[in-house]
This record gives sequence, C-alpha cells and structure tokens, in this order.
Amino acid sequence: MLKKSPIKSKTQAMVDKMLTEKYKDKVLFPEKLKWAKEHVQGRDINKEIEEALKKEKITKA
Amino acid sequence: MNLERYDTKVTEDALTFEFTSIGPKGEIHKIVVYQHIEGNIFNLAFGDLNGEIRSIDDLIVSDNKDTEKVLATVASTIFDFFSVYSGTLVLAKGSTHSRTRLYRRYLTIFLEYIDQEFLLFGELDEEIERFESGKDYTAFYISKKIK
Repeated sequence: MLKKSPIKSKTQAMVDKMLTEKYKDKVLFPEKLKWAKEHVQGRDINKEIEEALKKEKITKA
Repeated sequence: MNLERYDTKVTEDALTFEFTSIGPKGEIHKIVVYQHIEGNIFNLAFGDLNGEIRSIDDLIVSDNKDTEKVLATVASTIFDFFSVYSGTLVLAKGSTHSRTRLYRRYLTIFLEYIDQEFLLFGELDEEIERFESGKDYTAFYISKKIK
C-alpha cells in the first residue's frame, strides 16, 4: 500500500494546478512505461533490494 | 543539495515536473515523470518538451551546455517525489546505453549528496547490488533511507 503525504509545503517545486490539468489522464512516455513494466515483470524487486542490502552488510562485516 | 539547478513546477500529485533549460540553444522545456509500474515501484522518465512530448531523452541532442544543471534539477525532483511518496522505489534507465552511462557518471558525482538521504542500487545482468562507482550498470534503483 502506497503511503502518500500531502504535497503542500513538502516540495521545493512550485505546485501548479494548470500543469495538473495539462497532464490529466495522459500517459506520458508510453514506451518507457512499457519497458519498465516488462523489466520488473515476474521479479520481486523489493526482495532483490533486500538481498542487495544483506549482501552489502556481509561484505562490509 | 547545493548544486545549481533550475526552478521546477509540479503537478498536484507530485508525479510530473517541468522546467526550462536555458543555454546557447535557447530555452528547452524539460519534463520529468514518475510512472507507477506496480506496487511501490515507479519509473523515472525524462525528456524534452517541444510542443509535444518526445520520447527521446538525449541531452547530447539538446546540447544546451548545462548537463550538470539539468541533471541536478532532475535529481532535485527525486527529493520532492520521495517527500510525498515514502516507502517507494524508483527505477531509472537511460534511453540508450550511452545515456545510462552518463546517468552513472553523474550519479557518481552526486553520490555524496544522494547517500545522505537515499539508498542507490545498480543493476547488472538483472542482478541488483548497492551502487559502486565505475561499474557499467544497465539500470538504477533509488529508495529513501529510513531514519
């Protein structure tokens, strides 16, 4: 479950309602999105990240 | 991060950012998008905006003599993204091998800053490891450190 905080005062960028409207319901960079979905498909990336951290701890110990 | 960067605008969902690169080739509008892939994983996509959204994120083509400032600006959006979407993981890959290498070079330059707040990982042959300078990674993952 994604945890989303309120954006106001959280970002350095200026929140722009017009930008929200401009990109509303638009799929940007569809080919990149397709690549990314295929790249993680069938993998447990979070588990791989955990393993990478474990491996780092072992290597540093 | 104290590196020079451009001012950015962001959508209310903190997923789409715009800024303008200014250099010898004039003003080039840039867009940074965090695309939800699945679960807590997002993909970072970045490119030029010339009337319509281009799929090519090639700074060499833009060549506005401000690569470091542009990439520092993209990096600043990561701070903004994670300030809203905690517990997520961001995947980043260039559109070409040379583009990915350029990202790696700048990630190495920014590593000191990145390391303070984030965990950076590199992927080689579909194997993810903690980022190390000098390795020819094909993709990168970034998560925020839990303090």
